[in-house]
Amino acid sequence: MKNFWKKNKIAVLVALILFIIPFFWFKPGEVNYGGDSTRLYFYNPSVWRDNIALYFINPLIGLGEGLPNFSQVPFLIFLVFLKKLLGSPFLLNNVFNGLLLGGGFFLVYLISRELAEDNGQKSFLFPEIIAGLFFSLSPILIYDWERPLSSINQIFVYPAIFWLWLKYIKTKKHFFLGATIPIFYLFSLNFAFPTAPWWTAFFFFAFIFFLCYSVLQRKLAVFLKGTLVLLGIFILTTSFNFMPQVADIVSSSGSAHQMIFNKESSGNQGLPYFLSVCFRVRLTYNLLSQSQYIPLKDFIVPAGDLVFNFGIKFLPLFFAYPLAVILGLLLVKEKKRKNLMVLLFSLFLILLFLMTANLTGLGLRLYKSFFSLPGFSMFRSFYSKFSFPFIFFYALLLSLALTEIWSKIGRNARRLTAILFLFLTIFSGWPFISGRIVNGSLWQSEGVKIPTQIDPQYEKFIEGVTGVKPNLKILSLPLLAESYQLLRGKNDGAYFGPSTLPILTGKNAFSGTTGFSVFWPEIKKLIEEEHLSELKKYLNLLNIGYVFYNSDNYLFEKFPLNPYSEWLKNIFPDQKAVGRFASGLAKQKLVSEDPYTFLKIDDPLPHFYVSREDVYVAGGVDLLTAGLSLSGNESRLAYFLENPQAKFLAGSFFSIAEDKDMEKLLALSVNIEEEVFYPYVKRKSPLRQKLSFIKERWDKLRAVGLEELIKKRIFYANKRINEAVTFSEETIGAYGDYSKEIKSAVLSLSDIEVYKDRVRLALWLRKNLKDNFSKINSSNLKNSADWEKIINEYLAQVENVLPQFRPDQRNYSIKIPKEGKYSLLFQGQTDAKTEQVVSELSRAVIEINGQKIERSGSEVFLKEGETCLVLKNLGQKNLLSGIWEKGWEGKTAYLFQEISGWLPENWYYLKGTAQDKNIKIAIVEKYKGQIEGLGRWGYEDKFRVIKEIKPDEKSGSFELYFKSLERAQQGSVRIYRDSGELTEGKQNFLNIKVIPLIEPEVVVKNSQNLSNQEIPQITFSKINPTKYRILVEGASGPYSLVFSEYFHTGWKLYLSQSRNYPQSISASYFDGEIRETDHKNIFLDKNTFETWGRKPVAEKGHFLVNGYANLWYITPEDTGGAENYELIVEFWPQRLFYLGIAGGTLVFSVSLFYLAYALIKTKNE
Amino acid sequence: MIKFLRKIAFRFRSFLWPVLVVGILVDIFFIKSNSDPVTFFLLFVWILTVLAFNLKGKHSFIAALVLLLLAQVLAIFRVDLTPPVTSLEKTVVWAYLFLAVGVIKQVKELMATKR
Repeated sequence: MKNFWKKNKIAVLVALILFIIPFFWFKPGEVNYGGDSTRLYFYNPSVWRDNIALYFINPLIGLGEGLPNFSQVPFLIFLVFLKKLLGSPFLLNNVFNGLLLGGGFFLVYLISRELAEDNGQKSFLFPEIIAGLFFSLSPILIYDWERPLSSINQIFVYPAIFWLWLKYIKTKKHFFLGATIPIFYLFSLNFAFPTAPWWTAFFFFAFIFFLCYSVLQRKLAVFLKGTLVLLGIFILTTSFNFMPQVADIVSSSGSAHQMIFNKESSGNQGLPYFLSVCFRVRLTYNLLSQSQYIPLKDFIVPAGDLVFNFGIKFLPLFFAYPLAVILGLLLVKEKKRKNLMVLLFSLFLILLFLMTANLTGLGLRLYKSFFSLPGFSMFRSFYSKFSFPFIFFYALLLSLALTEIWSKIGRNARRLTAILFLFLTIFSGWPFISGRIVNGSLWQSEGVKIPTQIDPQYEKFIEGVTGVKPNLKILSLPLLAESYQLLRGKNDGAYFGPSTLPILTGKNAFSGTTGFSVFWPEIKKLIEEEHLSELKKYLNLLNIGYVFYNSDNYLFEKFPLNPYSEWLKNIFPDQKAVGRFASGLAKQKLVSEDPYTFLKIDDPLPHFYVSREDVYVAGGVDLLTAGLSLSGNESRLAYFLENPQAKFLAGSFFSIAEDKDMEKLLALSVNIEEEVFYPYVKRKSPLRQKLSFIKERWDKLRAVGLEELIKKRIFYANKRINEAVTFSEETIGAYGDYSKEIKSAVLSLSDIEVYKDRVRLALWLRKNLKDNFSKINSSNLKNSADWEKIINEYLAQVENVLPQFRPDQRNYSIKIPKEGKYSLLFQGQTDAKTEQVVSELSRAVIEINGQKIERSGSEVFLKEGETCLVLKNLGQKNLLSGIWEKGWEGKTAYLFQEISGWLPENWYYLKGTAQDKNIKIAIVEKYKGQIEGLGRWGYEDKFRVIKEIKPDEKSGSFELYFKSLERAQQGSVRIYRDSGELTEGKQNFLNIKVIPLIEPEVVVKNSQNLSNQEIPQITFSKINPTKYRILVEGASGPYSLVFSEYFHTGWKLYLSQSRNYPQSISASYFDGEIRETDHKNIFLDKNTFETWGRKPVAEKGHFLVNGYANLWYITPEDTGGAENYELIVEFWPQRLFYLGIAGGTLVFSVSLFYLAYALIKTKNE
Repeated sequence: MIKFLRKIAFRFRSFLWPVLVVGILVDIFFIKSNSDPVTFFLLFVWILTVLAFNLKGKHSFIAALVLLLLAQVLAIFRVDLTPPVTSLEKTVVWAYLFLAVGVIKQVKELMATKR
């Protein structure tokens, strides 16, 4: 020990200084709670452990699909111990930061020293200290401290494992392998799935290094043996995390499985993200160990920030690092040292490439090909994922290079270089040392500090919420765009990360729009339309029973946009709007500590319920709103969304008809604003004409895609017309060529695959042909009759390509899930539209599969499969009154008529004939538009032109399909005239009609009533998030038990051996048919393993229901005919944690004894 | 193949250095875009130079060192530090390519010594 101190005292002192530095960063009480992965465990590690880490199912994500956080358990126990010792989160955070910083430095110093001394080279001490400082203060790494993730621990953990691995290879002492056990155990978090990009990047290169190193040192066998033992130790020690993680990846309903294998999940969106970033990364900054200026400026740090520009302003200074490395490489002569340096340098160059990506076009192509490797997409933000191994190996290389240089220079030169490199490392790390980085502002905020102190008022509030009994989920307001929470601290800083509510209270919370997952589009619609009663039903289905409302205005205004999206700010421009929304949803105040309120939604649906009726929905989540609106007052329903296996269970079925005309309407309503163009022509000699044709042919050959070719053909056809009209047809002979071009264009139309594009092009061709006709008609061409004839022929052909939409008719296709009697229900998307639908349908004729049927509401017998529904005699009502008024737009006069009954997002059909063909007809809409101006939110009255049209020059007729836009208030038709008088009373030149087109949602529902069968009464108790007990009474027949927790095949149902009558009832629902007891959080007691070895029941009756939840169809056979019994619902993969933590803790304890024994033995020897 | 290349390189050895130096300087200062054909042609010329003059790995490192010093001068005088393609970045990329060639040659030399 004495020897160690003597040898390393300067390094120990530097490590101590680094340990102390974090204590000066924050004001007393402030803590940096980190970024996306949140470090709220510094605030209360024991609550975090109990609510988040101990169970496979944790409440962090509203629907309950959270990834297991078992890897944190030993770490949290360690933190609980440390917190007890230190007393406050402030000290805990600082001590921990100090340990990481000082420890990381010291370990890199030790490794550098080991490598330098490898081949008998004299150690100069300072190169190793510089390497340690270079590593721990590198600008590439220090910005990770701004809002640290759990991966920040790598600064200490990975070098520690590396050092022990190196020591083992050098000494063959098993002690060093044994010493890895406590590190693996306590920091298993840094070897888990969430930190996979970091540890795979580091240990892949560490493995390559040791493999080559042991070959060079002729110790390959030692290395292989040691690595195998290390791998075994790792698996055994971290089995509590390793086994559940593997189970989650293997299970098709596991979150990790979805993340890795679901192509739609963000994890597999690696390449597009990579491509959006890679062109901003510069090799220069990586080589000089500087942070990436361009991406940081774009994404993280405010531009022009001095802290950030530190390394950029003094860039030339940092060339000293690569120059020193190259000099070292040139100076090294001794073979073994040269081998080691070349090995490190090779790894350095590979990592430099991986850190930069954009190294020549070929390099970039090679990098892109890596993304075809499974899992490589985790390196999509490559420059931050490979940064750690890069700086680590760079530091080792620098240390060896400086040692080589120092061995060749004199004492004074050594001193000079030592000062230079010390200055460089400290200078570039100064923004970090001084605490400016960690004291930065939250991204896109107006100066809201990152370190924060939890508001004591909020602490009191949380205490109250924790005591609230029924176990329901929370809707957190104001909503954010991401599933995070913004919480003002006592110091006016803010916590911004995963919601504190689930962490501190154990209740699931929906705090952002993304938390609603697939349900968000429907919920968004309901919020927009302020359909609070429907929204409550939706929230019920998601088991949301509480509303948390934070009325604090400070953060709401300090974050002009992010994390509130533009949509959210428009809907809720201020806290008053949020407050109104919150009180509309929930009235009953449970806890209140200004500015925080906790409210209860009336008549919530409990976590468990017995379904009154199982409904089969022939569609996805988007049909749930329709299903809920049909459910009436009964909330205890179970919706099977297109699950044929569950068809046998369903008591009723419903399906929504698909509107077959909507695609046609959308295609026909496309604006063809482009004017018909006739290219300039000049008379050509026959030779020039031939050359011109060759050029045109070449131009057509170069067309990319059929659409461009057709456009080019139309262009050249117009050119032929212009030639014919400008010069005499006899000399030009354009007729034949025109005909050829147009014929090819018309014939090619049907080959365009995309329907919308095909129609748009046909409309464009029609517009051209009509214009061609007018041009020929007004010309003096001798053969104009021939031209007109052929144009008319082609016009007729184009009309055939265009969709035949009838405004008075609507066609539907319905998927009938099961043969039976169905009632037809017609409704609009809004109440006003429903009124419109009802009025229109009173005149309509309804046909199903060609047979006329009675009006809406009547029952029809329908067979399983596709059914055709036609609504006829629609759209006869003209919305124009016929009275024209005069208006002014600046100095331009126009005539206008209001369109009565104007509805937002509604289709209309305009048609008419004008005698005066110089007019222009415009549809103008008054709407609620977004208020303009930075930081101003909400809506104000605005006008916009939806569409404009001119009458056909030949017939004077015009027709138009258009749709009003969202938030529309009023519509009008305006008539403009290019020149000449436009006065009132001249309206007779028009026979104009505006007809509304209805888009009824047609729902078919089979007409069974709610089951009158007796359903059992249940009483449920939460033991912990992975285990529940349900007491069932009076189950005389089969029934469906719904459990509103994210569906997973790991949820199993067991028949309990005993019946425990609950002592305390915390909530009663539906006149006592469902009761809930006080929830508990028991991790281990005598009943923990009661279901082990027992067979689950109703396995085949376990279904996905309501789009996310679990349902068990339980029959008397499953329960041995009993009517009263107790069920246990348990999440099976949790058992892996129990097994793993027992094994891991045993290995950890044994390793501590072994290490203590080995240390004593070494001391005695 | 190597023999053939060496033969060719030896025949044109007097042209290799000027082509290489002028080519790299033109690429750094006058071509304002990244061009793989130019880069890899010049890199190929460097490989030919290595073969023609029997250069060692350390010579590539020296070339990289010179390029890095040039980059440092560019950084001192703030020569077009603005993206997308800068002379400074191009110089550093050239230095990287020379270092890569050098390290491959160095590994080859070390393996040859071992044998």
